[in-house]
Amino acid sequence: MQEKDIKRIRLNVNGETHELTVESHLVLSSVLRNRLGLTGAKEACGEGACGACTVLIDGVAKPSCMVLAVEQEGKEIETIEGLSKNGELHPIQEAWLEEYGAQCGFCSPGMIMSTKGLLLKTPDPSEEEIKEALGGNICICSNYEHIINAVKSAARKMKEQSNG
Amino acid sequence: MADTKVIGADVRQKDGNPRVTGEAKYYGDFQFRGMLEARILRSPHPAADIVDIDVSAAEAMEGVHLVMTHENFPKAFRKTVYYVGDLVAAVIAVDDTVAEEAMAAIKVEYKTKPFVMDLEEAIKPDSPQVFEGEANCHDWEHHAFLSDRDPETGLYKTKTPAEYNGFGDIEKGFAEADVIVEQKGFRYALCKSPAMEPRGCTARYDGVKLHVHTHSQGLHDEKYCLAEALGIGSDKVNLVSPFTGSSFGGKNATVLDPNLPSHYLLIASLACLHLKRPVHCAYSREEEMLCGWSRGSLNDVKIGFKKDGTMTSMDFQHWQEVGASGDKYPAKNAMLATGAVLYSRNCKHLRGQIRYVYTNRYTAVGWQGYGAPEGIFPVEITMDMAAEKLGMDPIELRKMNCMRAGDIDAGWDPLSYGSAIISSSGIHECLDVGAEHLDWKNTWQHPSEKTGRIRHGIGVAIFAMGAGRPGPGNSSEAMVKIFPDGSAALVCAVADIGQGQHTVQCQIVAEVLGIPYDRVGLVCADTDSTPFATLVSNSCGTWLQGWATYEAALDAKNQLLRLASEKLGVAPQALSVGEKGVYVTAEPDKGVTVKEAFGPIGHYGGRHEIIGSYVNDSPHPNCLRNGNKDELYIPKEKGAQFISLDVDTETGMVENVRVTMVQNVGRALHPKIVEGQLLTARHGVEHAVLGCECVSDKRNGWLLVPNFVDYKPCTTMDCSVEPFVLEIPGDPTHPFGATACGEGAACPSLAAFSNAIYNAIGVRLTETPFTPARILSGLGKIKSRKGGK
Ligand code: FES
Ligand code: FES
Repeated sequence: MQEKDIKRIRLNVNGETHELTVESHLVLSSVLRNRLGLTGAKEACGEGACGACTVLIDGVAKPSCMVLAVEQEGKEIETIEGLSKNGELHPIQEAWLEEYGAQCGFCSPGMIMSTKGLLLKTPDPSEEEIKEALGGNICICSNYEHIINAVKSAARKMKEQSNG
Repeated sequence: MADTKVIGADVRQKDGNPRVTGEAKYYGDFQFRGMLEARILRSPHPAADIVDIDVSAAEAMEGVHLVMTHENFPKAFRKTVYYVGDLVAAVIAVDDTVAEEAMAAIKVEYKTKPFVMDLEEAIKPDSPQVFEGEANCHDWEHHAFLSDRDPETGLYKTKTPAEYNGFGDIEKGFAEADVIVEQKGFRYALCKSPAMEPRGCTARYDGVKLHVHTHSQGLHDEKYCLAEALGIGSDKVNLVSPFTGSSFGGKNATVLDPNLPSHYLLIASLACLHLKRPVHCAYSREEEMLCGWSRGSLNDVKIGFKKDGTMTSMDFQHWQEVGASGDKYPAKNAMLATGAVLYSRNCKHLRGQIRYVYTNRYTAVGWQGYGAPEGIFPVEITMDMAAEKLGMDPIELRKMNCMRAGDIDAGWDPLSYGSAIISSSGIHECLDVGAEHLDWKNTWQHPSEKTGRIRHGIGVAIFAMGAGRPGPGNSSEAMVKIFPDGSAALVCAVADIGQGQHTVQCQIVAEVLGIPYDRVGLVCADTDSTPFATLVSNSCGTWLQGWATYEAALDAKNQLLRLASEKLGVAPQALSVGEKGVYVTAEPDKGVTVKEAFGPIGHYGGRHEIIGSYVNDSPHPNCLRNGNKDELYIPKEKGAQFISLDVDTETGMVENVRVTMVQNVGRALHPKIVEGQLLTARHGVEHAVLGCECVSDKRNGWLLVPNFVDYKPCTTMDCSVEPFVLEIPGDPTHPFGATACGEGAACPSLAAFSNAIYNAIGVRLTETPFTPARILSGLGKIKSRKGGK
């Protein structure tokens, strides 16, 4: 057996710092799910092709199965678990429920994080921009019309919130 | 339709919150102390005998707890492999990395054998046999048709199956025809329903019982199969499945056949019982792509018509690829969905010969439509060809021949019941709605009139398929509890695989009890705590489970009324249940709260809960015409799909795809959910023009599309779907008039696509997918290779 290359890292996830010893080859999704118990981000392909594992890294939506955990030192990671605060759903989650954006729900955490990434950058996205931003997130339930409506409604809700 | 409060409303998804917060636990999200990882070593050969297998090095590795092969676990492994990806061994280790290293250390000596990778090749008498001593091609043995049909009533007088695969006399029917249309060699490519959540499970043992956490379409069915396969009592197995990450029929693991892709259940369970440690066995995406394919089929169709368009006779020849022994039922369904059901009105003479064919490819599983798309594809293209030959509008030709409410379902397999009456149709209305939406009359032009590089086309196809039946093997049960505070709980095992079944069943309870929807809780997590529920396949959940839930709620409600009646001194019949409790219907101010009806609780008498229940194991009285057991109403999924697209005649690319999906659902119990079901019509785009096909290397059997990049499902960018949900009341088979809605959206797509492409460029495509190469070769711009690819 090969010697394991193990590193100590500090991961900042949802505003909390975790001191961990991880094997260098482990991807972020694996550490989030198996070490921190944050199983919201799903693994459906493990190769960057489906978006199920999407999290925000410094505010940018990325598939967590495609980045190494040891390279995330000093970055801010946000997962689906960090979205609702004190039991209050985030406006994107609210919009998802209203528009029936989750059918089986397996793609939903990733879709919702991609949406947050989009709305942070483009608070008022056009339909084309929404389609492009979510183009890497596969939903086999093929619920895209509902999902696109949910993104639009989330954008409205977030605007209202920041105005109010 | 009686006024309803909760039924028909877009209430919140019952288990929606956990799905959007990431709290929903799918099987892979459970972690147990001491959990081990199972990894499966798979065959690199499409056909071979395992001559020797040396696992000593693997077993000796640190962190390896068990290596399983046919030698120590003959229940789960065989000495022969039949396809690339077939099981050879499994390693149970502390983690994935160790398991994979150990797998690499297993030495297997194979004696390879000849193999066959193609349906047409496999049919040839001299082709290599997939299973030694057994032909590759088999006639479907279950006769699906009845004989002795009374010409007056249309009913079948005896329950004996027809002597040959069909009814009437096709030769007589063809002799009566003025126009005969015949097309051979329709090919529906082998393709995949790639659920987002790959297959797998975690098994753990608590000292008494085996608990298996998995995804499911029918927990109880799986439990019985697993217990039998393990050789232990059903009481020793508990299946747990709170959430399932999409399925579409492919995760139906009820048959623990060594040839079906549900090995994870057996491997994890056997290892867990052996080691007394939790074992997690999850397929990677590549493994997921290696198993559970569907749709591969070959067809010849011949249909005769009178000059006015009336269908006189149909001959339907069907070969279904099942790989190295998979689920064979799609073959039967392909037949039933076509002439036998869709056109049973006018088609009095029909022959449907169906066969299933083994190849050394991945095993076949059921999938959205369960064979129906394979049958509808050739028939609905032939109908289009016929319309052209007859000089008729394709919509008019279909309207003239397709089923209507009250028709006899000629494809009904009777079991213990007699003739089946189609309970409602609405296909005509669906055709009208779609035609109007696309402005069919003004837009439809014959292809010969089209010019220019980019050509627009529209096409249509209709569909109908069976949606469950009552009776043996298809029963459903439910329990409804009412608590003293007036809230209620539904206890049932119906699987929610993304189709919204949990929400809909709770709506039914709320409606029957007259309480708000959010006061209905749901217990649906495992087989220990729930009564039996039907497998959610066949789009029958709302109907079959719906009856059980409805009747159980009614039972609970009646018990509550009786309790209140004692307190109020008013007959139960004169009482109603509402938000505040039970009241006298004629005097709404006079009543008791549920708590008062229960009386004092605990040591002082009274009750803690009411339990209503129902077992739906024979046709509900509402499903019988005239109360006659031999005239059974049978609900169908039915509707029409329209495709609008542009074809670039220079590149062969299909662009700007718009799908108009119209379906009569009788009553939409939850309009948004129903709409969501219709949106899956998008799957057709994958299999028509995105080129999704199970391509394997003919030389060595290796799958060439083992991931989401090479087999790319639709994304937000690929097309738009416009769902039209029609509610045509009058279907008697459901307490709220709902019929089925689920798989239908996939059924007509490929035919509608082919018809739309023909309408755009005058090229008739009969092999899927409709790749640019096939389109260009159809246009004569490039030479076609074998098979037209
Ligand atoms: S699991 Fe990471 S992109 Fe698919
Ligand atoms: S909701 Fe099921 S995969 Fe998207």
